[in-house]
Amino acid sequence: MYSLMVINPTGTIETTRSHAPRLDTLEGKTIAELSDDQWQAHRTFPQLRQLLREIFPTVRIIPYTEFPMGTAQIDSEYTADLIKERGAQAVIVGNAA
Amino acid sequence: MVIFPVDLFLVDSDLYPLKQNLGRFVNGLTRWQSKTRMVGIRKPPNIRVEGEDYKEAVINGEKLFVKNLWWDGLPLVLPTEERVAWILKGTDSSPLNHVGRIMPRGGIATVETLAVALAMAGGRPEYLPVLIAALQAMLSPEIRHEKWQATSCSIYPVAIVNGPVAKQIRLNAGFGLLGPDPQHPAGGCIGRALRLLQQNVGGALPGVGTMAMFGGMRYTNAVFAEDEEGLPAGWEPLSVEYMRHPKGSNVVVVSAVSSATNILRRGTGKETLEEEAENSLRVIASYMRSLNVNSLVSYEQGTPGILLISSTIANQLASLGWTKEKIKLFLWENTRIPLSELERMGFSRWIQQSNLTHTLQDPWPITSQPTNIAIVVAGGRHPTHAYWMQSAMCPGVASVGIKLPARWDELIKEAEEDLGPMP
Repeated sequence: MYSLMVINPTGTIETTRSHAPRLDTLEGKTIAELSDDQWQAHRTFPQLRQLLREIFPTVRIIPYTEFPMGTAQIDSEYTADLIKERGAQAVIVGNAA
Repeated sequence: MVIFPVDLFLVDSDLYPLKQNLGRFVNGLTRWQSKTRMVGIRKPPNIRVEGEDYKEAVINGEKLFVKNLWWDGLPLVLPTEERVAWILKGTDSSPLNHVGRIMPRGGIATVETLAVALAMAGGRPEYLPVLIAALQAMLSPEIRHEKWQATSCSIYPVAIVNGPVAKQIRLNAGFGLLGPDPQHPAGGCIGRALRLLQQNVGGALPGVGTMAMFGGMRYTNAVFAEDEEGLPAGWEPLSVEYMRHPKGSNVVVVSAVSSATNILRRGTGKETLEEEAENSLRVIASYMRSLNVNSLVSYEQGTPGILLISSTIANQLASLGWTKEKIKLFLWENTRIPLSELERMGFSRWIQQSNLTHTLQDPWPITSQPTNIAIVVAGGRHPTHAYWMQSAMCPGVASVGIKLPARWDELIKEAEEDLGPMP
């Protein structure tokens, strides 16, 4: 039997932190919307907001219009700090296509 | 992530799928768990492939790469430990050194990873310093690769090499520089290696990690050299004039583009030289003068694109008093687009939505200043055509110096033994 050793071409992976733990429920929680202002986000976010409020009447949703909008703008430490300041416990980011 | 067919995201789409899939949003916020909880660095182990003999082991290794989607559809060279060790002679850096993280997958490319990609692409050790510099430039913040690696726009990196290293490694600056050329194999190998890194480390698999509708520049991106020997007197190489490197230094200049247009620019031969020169620049301007939403991000600090003109054309223009600066100014002035045209195409809304500090001008220039246009003297020494590569989603242009190993002369000598005399 002949054998060769080949090197995996996919590189090294570094995980610096785990994904954030999930919420136990959306009732009484605050969710922030972050929009890249693309792909009908101006229509999908209001619709999604309304649907979530129908199921979870006490959920508080901060609309995307209250945060910076745009691909580069939402991907910033400034936006992340703003979300924390507003007391959001979860974020819905959209849309990509 | 909640994934939908693209129909949901089109203008005036039916939003009912949101209601149908509401549970997936709730699940993502409440019950979803990651498959891995491990934190730290993980390097996948080397892989043993076996066969009855060497030939069968190689075939089995190739099948492994095919089934894992680590190839690009073309035959590849198996990156055995021995082959990769040979490629690594092209650098004095430790194989474990991190070159950078390639998005969207976020895999880290080490020097060894680059050597693996170059081995797969059929490369040689003397290409490795250029590949390292090209990837470093591609990963720099000015290039913002994390945005265009995954986008639906079919974007690919362009790497232009200046300095003596270009000729030493047989990088093409002349005829066929963007295509296959067995006399100048370096560009295809380096470009293919870069593409394999984008896919295997960065996750840019078509339809999965990248939504590029039509794909990038086939398999090999665009890697070539400037025709520095053919520069007119007083014209500086791209690395000097555009990126302010010292003359004669080995540099890779990188940007990202989404299109490539071949421009027939010569006259019928019955006009005067002056007439042909100016007419030809107007023809070139007519191709450059196009609305490109994807180049708004490079409007102020980057380039609207890279214009390739051959040494023949450059010297003809220079003999008539055209400097690079004068050509750029002419092109800038003659590529401006009336506001009425922008508005008919809906482009003015994109401009207003962007972060540009300039207000709408009438007519609208394709870039904020003429000096943003990048002109490279390259291509077959022939007068007929110029080539325009329009930039996309790339805020700037980046450049990195190429570091050669101590045994460089020895590598070039080995190349001459393997490949024959320089073309």
